Amino acid sequence: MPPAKLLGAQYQSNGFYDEMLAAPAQPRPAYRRLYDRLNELGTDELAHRHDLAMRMFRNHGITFAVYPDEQGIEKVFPFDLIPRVIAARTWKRLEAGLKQRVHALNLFLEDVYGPKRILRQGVVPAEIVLSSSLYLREVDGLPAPHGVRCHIAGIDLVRDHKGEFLVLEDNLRTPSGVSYVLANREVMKRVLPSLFGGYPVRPVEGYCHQLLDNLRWLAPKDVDDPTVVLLTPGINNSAYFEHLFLAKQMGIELVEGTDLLVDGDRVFMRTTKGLRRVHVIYRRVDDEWVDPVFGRPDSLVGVPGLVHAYVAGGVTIANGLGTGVADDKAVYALIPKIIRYYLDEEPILPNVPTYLCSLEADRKYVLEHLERLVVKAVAGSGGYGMMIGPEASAAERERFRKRIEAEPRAFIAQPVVALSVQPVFDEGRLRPCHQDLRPFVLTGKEVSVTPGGLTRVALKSGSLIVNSSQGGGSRDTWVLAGSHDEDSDTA
Amino acid sequence: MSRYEIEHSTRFEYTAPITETMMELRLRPLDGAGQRCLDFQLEVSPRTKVGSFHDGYGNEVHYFNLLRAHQRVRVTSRSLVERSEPEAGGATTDDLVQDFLRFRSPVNDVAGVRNLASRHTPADPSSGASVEQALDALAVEISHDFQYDPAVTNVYTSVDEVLELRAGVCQDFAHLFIAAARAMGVPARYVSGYIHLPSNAGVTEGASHAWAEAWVAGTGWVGYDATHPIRAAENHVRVAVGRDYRDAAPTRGVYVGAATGSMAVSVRTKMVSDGN
Repeated sequence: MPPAKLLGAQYQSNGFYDEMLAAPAQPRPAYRRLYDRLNELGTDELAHRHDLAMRMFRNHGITFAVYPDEQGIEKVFPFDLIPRVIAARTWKRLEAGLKQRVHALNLFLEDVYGPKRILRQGVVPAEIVLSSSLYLREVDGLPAPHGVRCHIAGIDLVRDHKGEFLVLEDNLRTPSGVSYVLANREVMKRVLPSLFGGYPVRPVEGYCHQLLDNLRWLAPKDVDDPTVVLLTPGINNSAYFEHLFLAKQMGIELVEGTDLLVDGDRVFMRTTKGLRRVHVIYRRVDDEWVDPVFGRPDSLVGVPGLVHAYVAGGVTIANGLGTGVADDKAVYALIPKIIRYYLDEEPILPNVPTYLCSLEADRKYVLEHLERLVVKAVAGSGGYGMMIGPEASAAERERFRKRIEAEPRAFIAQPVVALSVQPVFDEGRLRPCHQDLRPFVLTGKEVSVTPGGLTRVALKSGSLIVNSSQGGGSRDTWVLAGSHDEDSDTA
Repeated sequence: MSRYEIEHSTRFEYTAPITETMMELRLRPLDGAGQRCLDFQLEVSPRTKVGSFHDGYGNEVHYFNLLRAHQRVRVTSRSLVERSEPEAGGATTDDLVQDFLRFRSPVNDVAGVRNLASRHTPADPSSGASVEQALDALAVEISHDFQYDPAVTNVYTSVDEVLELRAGVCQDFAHLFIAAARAMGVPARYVSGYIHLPSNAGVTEGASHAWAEAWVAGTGWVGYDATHPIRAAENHVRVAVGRDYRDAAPTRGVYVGAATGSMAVSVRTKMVSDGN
């Protein structure tokens, strides 16, 4: 007797847009082969491969630490074996939309830290942009090499109940997660090589080459062979594994603040052979910690004088200072206008509708509909400081009501997006879990997007929070090359 | 029109030799708004290369790093400044000042600040004259209700603590004024500088001074000195501006070494003849 189909009638997508299945036992075209192959493998074999995968992650130390655990507990990032498949045509549009968005955001940053035309012309309200706690007046007027301030961006996309991709938020400060994109692919290729058969999956390994090329391009003009380093806050940072991983992949030194010193507008690294000049710093330290003279005087992870060297052109730091103003969640609501203003184009990727609590009419609506909305702190990230109305207790909603009333500028609200689902293999059975997608957008001479990105999966049953710090996991993400008779993930 | 010669000296002493000092200085008097810096000289000892740039507030920042062992640092600036009343209507056209409404520690949005602000709500918030009057009254209340006492606060003291202590120094009163103005919806910023109040032979000996500026629509930045309490006038010399003390501090920096440090400041201002 053949085994029961893994995704037979017992699997229910609960009315959400299922990326894999158009209907029970009916995979979408791009998933057909994958669906058949998963059924051939069967439950026991998948369980075995899953164990194998988790062991590989552990053995390779692919972990993350969770805040606000003061102990900094290392955990393996949960992984699901079933890849997400994105058809070439779908990706083409996403890629164009991401490039458009990040290009416009870099023009915006160059403007708000320069002439401020968009604010002076009243295209977007100056009070929303300048009231951001992430706007750094102290770097106003300071030039950025090649006019680029955000070199590395992670843009969070979600798919709604119709399967349409929307931008949920932008991460323009020190976005993390790309190491899992690379590690997931590596592990998938080893654990389930047969799944790839017949799928022209576009490689992701080019990310590190592209990033290193871009970082080298940022070096001060007179330098032929620049030295690039990655500056980490250290082993207690939740993304320390990623810092280590990326430095190794790019063949550059991983340094902490105490490894660097500034002398005469130049930055040097202490090595066993003496001081060595550093030209470009890929910093994974936030603005206010990067230099105790510039930001917080109690920062022990920064480099005293780094900002002086940067201003004098002796070193370039990526991302530049103050990029956070463009990922403030209130400024997010203005991005469609920002794209139209700088590029004279319609935004390719839509935003999620957003209510700004600083506007009286919006605030009134938000306070009257808290049980239906997601409320987010504007400067928050990582899923912290948010409330999902339908899931929150009455007490929690009341707490947010008070916080919104006390500090309206600090909050936005959005309708709950019915995030798409995809089957997750969990203890021998498949169940639908919500997911999002964080593609990584690099800006050098050109803007480029690594095919795919990090698909984060909300593993808690019914949960909409995909952040690794809040019980999320991830899966490999396949972007297919060229046109293909299976080139559709929607039909 | 008045001319001032100003000498501002800061000495840092450490209990043992330290290996590194990295410091930023905001000591050059600003140009504009009725003020011109005719001459500026800076001396850093031990001798070292001094760089400079303009920060996002328009302040000229000098900076240096000392990477050899030292036990004391001395920074002396000498300025010659010409001061006049700004011309009426000569205010800057830069009206993008909304970031000066934002609270950030030590200028916190607390109940005491809101109470203070609510006692000085302008009769007509759309009228510049009405806003200026309200701010005058605010400066008067702060100077009357708070004791000048250099022994109770330090550069990190927040407005919450000042409200409790009912005492402080010019920096604390400037912070409190800024907090209350922001709570009233008026953008306000911190000014670091000097005030010339001659005691004998036309010379003031003392420390640097601090006050606040409020953005009044149609007029521009208006200076309020909540310590004295007066509008900033010809005997106020503006050196640096920012959201609060941290942005505009005359000196700020870090040192590396197993020692504790102490700092002493002296400022001398003298009115000089402009030759006419």
